[in-house]
Amino acid sequence: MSPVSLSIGKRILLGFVAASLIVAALGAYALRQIGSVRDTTDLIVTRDVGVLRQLDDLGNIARNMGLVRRNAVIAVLTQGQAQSNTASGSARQDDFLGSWRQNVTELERLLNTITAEVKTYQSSALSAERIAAWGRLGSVFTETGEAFRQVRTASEQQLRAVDSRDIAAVEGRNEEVNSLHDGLLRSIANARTALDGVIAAGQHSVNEIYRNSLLSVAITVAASILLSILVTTLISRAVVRPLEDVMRFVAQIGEGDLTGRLNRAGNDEIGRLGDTLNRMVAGLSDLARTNRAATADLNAAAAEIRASAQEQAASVEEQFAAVQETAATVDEITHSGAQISKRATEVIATAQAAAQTARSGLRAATDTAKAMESIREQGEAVAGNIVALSEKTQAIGEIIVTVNDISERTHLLALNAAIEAAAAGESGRSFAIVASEMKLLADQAKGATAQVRGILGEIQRGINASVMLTEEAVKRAAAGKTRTDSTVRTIEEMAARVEEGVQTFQQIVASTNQQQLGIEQVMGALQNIRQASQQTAAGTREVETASANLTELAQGLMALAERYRL
Amino acid sequence: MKIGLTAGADPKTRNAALLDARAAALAARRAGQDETVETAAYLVCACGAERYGLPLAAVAGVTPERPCTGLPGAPPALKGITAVAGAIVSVLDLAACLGLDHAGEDDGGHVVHLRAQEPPVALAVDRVLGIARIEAALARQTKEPESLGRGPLSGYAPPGSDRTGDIREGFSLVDLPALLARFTT
Repeated sequence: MSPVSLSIGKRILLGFVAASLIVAALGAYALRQIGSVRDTTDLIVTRDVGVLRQLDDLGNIARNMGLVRRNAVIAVLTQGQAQSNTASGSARQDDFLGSWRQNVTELERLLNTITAEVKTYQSSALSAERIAAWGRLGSVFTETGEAFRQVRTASEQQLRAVDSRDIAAVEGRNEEVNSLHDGLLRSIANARTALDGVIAAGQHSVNEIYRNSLLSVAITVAASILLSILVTTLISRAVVRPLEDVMRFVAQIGEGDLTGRLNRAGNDEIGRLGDTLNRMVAGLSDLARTNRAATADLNAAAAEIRASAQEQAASVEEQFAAVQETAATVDEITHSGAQISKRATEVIATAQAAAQTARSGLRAATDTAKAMESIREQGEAVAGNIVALSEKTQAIGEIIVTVNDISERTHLLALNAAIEAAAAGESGRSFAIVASEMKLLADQAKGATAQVRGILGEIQRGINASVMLTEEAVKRAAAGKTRTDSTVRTIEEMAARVEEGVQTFQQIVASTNQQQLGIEQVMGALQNIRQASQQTAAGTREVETASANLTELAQGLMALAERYRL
Repeated sequence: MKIGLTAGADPKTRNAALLDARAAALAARRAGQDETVETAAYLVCACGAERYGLPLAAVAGVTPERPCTGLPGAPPALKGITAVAGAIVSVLDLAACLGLDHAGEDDGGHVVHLRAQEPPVALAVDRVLGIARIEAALARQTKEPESLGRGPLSGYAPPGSDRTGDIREGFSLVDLPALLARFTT
């Protein structure tokens, strides 16, 4: 167990640093091994390739040397046959000898160089196999040097014969020189074969080094793996076990048991995590309690929302029906408004005719008022005449009274005369007849006066009735004039009212037209309201469904909240 | 009457009607029968609705009624006294004397002065209608002195009994001595 004071981060960092160091050491070692392989390979390749190239040069120079000699021989032979030897021929012979010597010098130098290099390489070879190979190559080169010296000697002699135009000597020596030269070439080929052995030895050495490096790198990797496993185990013991405790606690929480607490002290991350988890569990307990209460509230609220949504759905249905009815009503209003407009137009025509009639009625009423006035004046005149007539009748009545008095007196006088005649006896008989006649006249006069009086009374009553009737007629004429005046005013008012009515009906027509426009807009608005109602109904159904879901959700939440043991 | 009928006609027609009426009245008189039948003359007076006939021989004259002076302690039939031609005359109400309710009008009445009475008596009536002549037999019909319950009325003249044709309705005949006997004794 690691020290408690070391935090997990530092532990992991430590393990990581250790693993990194192991990997770095491994890498450095591998790089060094690769470098040594490369150096060895470079060395081998440089030496072998250099020797190979010099060997090729050596072969080429040897062949050139043989070629020059052969050319010289051929030239001599050709010259001898044609017998046309000139100065140019001698110069060419000089040339053959010079180039041949130059080649010889070059070949000798190269041979010496290779021999020295081979000796050097033999002394500094990497492996015993290489040393042996280099030794075999050195002996081959020694043989080659020997063969060269023989070839040089023989060739020099042949070439001197060429210079001296000794064709016979040339041809005599030619066979020997050719065989020597072929020996030289064979020796060089042997050297190449020996170099191949060197190269093969070098390849073998490189393979050896590679195998050694591979083995060592593999061992190092295995060691680092072991070290990493160790570090991982340590980290696991320091980090994972407390984390498993915490995970068990967290799983307990996850199962809904909020009663437990994590008992772990310390300043490391696990300790702080324990504190934090304890606080979190406390907070979760509060949260769960709050959540439980809130979920109960939510359940009640969801039920209320559902009830409200159902009510709203019902009211939306009612509203929809009301909107339909309103639309029907507005349609009827539109029809009735059109009828109103038509009727109002007819009424306007009628009212204009009425106004015309009222004007003619006004003229007639004015004429009637004037006629009433003249009737009243004439009635007053008639009343005055009748009053005068009544006064005359009064005078007649007085006269009649006088006549009646006279007839009464005459009656009594006739009676007295008859009495006196009767008292006179037979002598008064004729006087009695006169008295009787007098009495008859008096009685007739009296009856006539009574009749006249009755007629006068009737006349008086008639006059009185006439006066009263005339006065009544005058009053009625005045009243008629007053009424006619009021009729005139009434007709004027009526005409004004009719004019106002015409204007009013024109305004009504205009208002009805505007009303029709407004009603069309209202119809559009009702259409919108209907669509909105349908959308609202759909939305309400969705709200109802959502509230039902919400209720189920709230009940699920309550079931979930019940899971927490507090 | 005829005048009333022709009141509204022109004067020529009215005069013709008057003359026709006079001619008819004159033709209706039966002058030739006066000599053959003895007649008695009565002065017919009106008291209210009743008609009474006074014997013409007992009548001195007729005057319009004038105001008379009432006497204290007099019977209700005695209206009072008045002065006629320098003599004091007692005025009796005929209707009251005959026991009728006096309902007649006071103004315009007539007074009938009687002859040969001491003291002088006059009878106040509503109106003196005229003089009628009836048959003497009709006048003497109930004038038996011995008849029981003799009252102030002596008989009755039915309608149409006037020979002159002046009085058409019937009238009662007044027995003046019997009438006045109650006041003079």
